[in-house]
Amino acid sequence: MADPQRLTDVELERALRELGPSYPYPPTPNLAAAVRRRIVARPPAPVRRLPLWRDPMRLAIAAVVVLVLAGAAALINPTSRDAIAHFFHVRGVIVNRVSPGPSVSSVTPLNLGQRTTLTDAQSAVSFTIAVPTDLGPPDAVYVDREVPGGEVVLAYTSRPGIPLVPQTNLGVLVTEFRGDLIPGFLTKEADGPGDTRFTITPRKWKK
Amino acid sequence: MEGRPLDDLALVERARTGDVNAYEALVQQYQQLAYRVAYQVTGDAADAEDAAQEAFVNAYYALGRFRAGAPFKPWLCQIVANEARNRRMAAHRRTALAERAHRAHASGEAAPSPEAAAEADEFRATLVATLGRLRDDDRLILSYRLFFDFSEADMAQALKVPKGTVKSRLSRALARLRAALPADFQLASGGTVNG
Repeated sequence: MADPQRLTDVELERALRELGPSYPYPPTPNLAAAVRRRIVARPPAPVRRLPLWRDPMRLAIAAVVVLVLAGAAALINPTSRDAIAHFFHVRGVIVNRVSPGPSVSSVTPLNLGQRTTLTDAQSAVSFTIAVPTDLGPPDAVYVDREVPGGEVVLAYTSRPGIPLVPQTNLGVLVTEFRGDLIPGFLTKEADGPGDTRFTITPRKWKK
Repeated sequence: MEGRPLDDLALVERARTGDVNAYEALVQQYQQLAYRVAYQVTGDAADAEDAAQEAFVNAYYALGRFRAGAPFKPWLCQIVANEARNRRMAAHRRTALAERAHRAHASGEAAPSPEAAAEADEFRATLVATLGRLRDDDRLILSYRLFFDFSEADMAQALKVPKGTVKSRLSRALARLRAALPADFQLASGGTVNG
């Protein structure tokens, strides 16, 4: 007699698969009609929603919504937005917010000298003050006597075609002084043998 | 017996909204499977019918907790098996299971000869009786896999066990079946076991 204990799993599975279609089940009763009668007689109660803290899906959705709102609130605030961008090392334009600088309402912060008139300025300097004809009379004149020969500054506000510079509230600034150069002091060297020398003729400079 | 997954999804969704006709269609589609699963547990036709019917009703009222898009078949089988276990435990019919299985007559397959038919009947009867002596879990996992052709994922859900343990559980069930077979058991092909 053979020993069934030597049956392999494959042989047993094959034997069971062969048995499956002819397994002696009783005929299947018609359950559908009975089930229908019962569920029609007692409709299901409305689905009662679990409390939020016991419903993982709704809890996750609520957490995501809270995080999104918190993130949006943080990004709306410029300070926190810059801090977040800095924390994450976001490259790009970095805006440093500083308090507004002092307004320049006059030219005195430029340390142009002592305010005076064009006539007085002329008497204080050793050269003839040139006034640009296109600009007309200056709006303000300053003189600095500490500069050898004197220095005159002609200040102009905006003119047609000449915008106002917000930092100075000026359109044009003309500084005149006498510039004497030592001949040969200003040289220009060129590569190669020998030097190329330029002789500078002393004259009046404007800047 | 197997359902069509896309139809299942549509029917389940409609049934969840209270469509009784849709649920009745699901019952018709799965009543044979549910009844046979219940019978594997109870071993009694009347108990299996009651268990399957109760399981379908309970499943209908539980549709609100059914995960949308999940397969309906293993979920239903889990409910059926639980209901069948409860009924069988209440009736204490475990000892009668093997006897009823012995008495069960084979289906009307055409047989080549009276001798072969007798041999096939003996093979089936022995296997059915041996299955009847196994634990519920062993009989169910063997039925799901080898009678109803469940996938491993469906078996895991129907048995409510991790998917990774299905193969080992199946192997242990086969080992216990092997150990329970009588010494004179012969395969249906007529050949003796391993010579």
